[in-house]
Amino acid sequence: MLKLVDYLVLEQQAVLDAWFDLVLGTYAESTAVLWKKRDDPFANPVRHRFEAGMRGIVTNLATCGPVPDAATFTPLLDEIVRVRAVQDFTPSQATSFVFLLKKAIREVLWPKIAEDNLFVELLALESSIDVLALFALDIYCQCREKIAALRIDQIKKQYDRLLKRANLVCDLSAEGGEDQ
Amino acid sequence: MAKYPPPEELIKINYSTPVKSWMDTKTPFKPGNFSYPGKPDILKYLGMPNPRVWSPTDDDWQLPPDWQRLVMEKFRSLLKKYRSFKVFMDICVRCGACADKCHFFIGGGDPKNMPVLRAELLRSIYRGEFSAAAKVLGKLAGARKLEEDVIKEWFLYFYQCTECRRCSLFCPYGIDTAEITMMARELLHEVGCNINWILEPAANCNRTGNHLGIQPHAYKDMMDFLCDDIEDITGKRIRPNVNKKGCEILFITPSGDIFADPGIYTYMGYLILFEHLGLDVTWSTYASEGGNFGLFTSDKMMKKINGKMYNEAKRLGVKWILGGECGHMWRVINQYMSTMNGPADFLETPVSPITGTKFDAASGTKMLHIAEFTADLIKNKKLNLDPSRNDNFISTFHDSCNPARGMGLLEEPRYIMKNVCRQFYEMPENTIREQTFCCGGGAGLNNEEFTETRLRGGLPRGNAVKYVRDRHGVNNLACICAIDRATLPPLCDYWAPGVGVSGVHELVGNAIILDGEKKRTTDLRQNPLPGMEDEEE
Repeated sequence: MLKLVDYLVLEQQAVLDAWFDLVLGTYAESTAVLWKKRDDPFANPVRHRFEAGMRGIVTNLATCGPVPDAATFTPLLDEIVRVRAVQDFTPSQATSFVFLLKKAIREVLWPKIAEDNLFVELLALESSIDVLALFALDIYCQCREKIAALRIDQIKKQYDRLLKRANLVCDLSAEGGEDQ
Repeated sequence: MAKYPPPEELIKINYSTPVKSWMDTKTPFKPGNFSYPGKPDILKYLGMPNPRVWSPTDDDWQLPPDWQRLVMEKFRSLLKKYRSFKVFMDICVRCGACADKCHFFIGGGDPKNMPVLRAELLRSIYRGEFSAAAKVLGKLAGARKLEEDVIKEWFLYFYQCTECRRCSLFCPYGIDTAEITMMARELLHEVGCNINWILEPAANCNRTGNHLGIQPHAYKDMMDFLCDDIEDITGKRIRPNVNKKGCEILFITPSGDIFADPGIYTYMGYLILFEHLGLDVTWSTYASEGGNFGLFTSDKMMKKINGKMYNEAKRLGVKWILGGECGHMWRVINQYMSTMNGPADFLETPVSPITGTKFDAASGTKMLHIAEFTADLIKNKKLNLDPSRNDNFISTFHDSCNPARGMGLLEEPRYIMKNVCRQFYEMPENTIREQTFCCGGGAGLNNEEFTETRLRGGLPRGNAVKYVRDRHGVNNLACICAIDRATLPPLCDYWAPGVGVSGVHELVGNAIILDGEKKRTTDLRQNPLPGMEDEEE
């Protein structure tokens, strides 16, 4: 008998489509229409990054076993979180796309789950998705910290030379440490 | 035990956002999506209306009591003054060709950043106030009344446009959305809604000749400082002319490059190039700014700030003007200078004293872009170059919006790059040349408080940079704009970590072999040259 992860592989495209639609549902309607329509990776980088990340996540989720590991999933989640971290979302909204995968899986695979009584496996898979949400939270925070650091950096760079030239500051950073 | 809803019910959760008409959607202000307002003393200095302390997050923006009349009168006068503005208001058929061409929309997805809708913010008022039929039909005809919320919306979205003109490239009618933004900003000035990052540089420029307010002695001091660095690296002492009368050429470049990292290395590149050629050129502490934040303020301010270039050329008695790597400086020169402050009959059409090439394309303004000048030198084999010194860089080229779309300068910088570097890869074709993506910091938006929104708008550019980084190992993004040099490093850091930013003439400066120079062990950033990692200083 097939397991839930087997169905996930078999129905991968349907799950991905459903998940992608749900995620685009978190944007304005007219935006979702345009982003779904255009598939050039450079003209429409959001779709491109989302699709690449989502495909990787679903593929790896089917093979990762009970505990997803950060090294595999972080770069995949990063494709999506890094974008949503600068899109005016609250932290929960920015990372909510992970939970929408649960909804997509239920929507697409519910008949199989009910028919083959795969509820225990569903719980395990959903727990894995919860772990992904935690990874996503880490990435989100890293992105936000990066933005704050970039702001500080910009201020420093603007006045650094003038202040140093005027002998108004002493350079406390380790030799070449912070400059590069 | 708590009762849980059955899974069937759980899957009915509705995550979608409510669908509302854009006219009914309130403008959200939060830190990171707007730039700080103009400071009262700056507004007073510039003689601009309604100076006050305020914040976009306030409920009450302290508009003048008769603000509606002020805005409508200005609107009327702009429509009368600029035929193009009236045409742009009337002609749009909302075909949507521009809708997904703006970097802020592509990265963020806010529909009001679709150029068509951003312009509609203004057009709806135009219809509501100037078209009799639309006045009656109201929203059915896309018309609305001028309310305070409209001013707030204009402020947010017209200061989320970098006037990069990428959308205009795709408009079948050639509507210049940047000019619509300029008009909207002029309307906002009437009621004192503007941003400090534009006005303070404009005020500084009035006072000291450059946006940063650097005074002549400090400018010269910084220049000497960079000459010290050049001496350390090359063993040659350069003594550039400053404010010297009777030179053949006046050189003007953005002031951002004299002390901001990494612009200073481009500045050093110019100094080395001029030294190598023995060029009869002077720098000026008065015309010490190529950039023109007047372009983002008003036509009057733009004209005034631009005027100093010709004034200084006249005072110093030069034959023509050479201009450095800058973005909107060239937009102003190429599109507006001749009619604003020309004709400069006292100047001559630029002729390269080294190659004899006459640059007829510059005969209108008598100002030559340094990329054209240097490309001609390379073509005529007048530069002694060692491109291997740039071997640590695997480069790509970012077309800055204004030189690319505003003046068609596409080939020259590439030609230079290919001659001073041995490793050069292009980004995908729909992200370069005329179709280049903005850095997100044009039109006065390269302030730190706007970083988050700028990164959002930087996604399309960052995505293309990441592509060449992953595919070809690109680690250097070269550009010919001072705002790019300030804005692209954080953009790369966020979207394509590991890629640095340089000016084109920084790489030229690295490659040039000066007569009698010592054996160089480092590049202009004082990083070891390839193969020199173990050399002692």
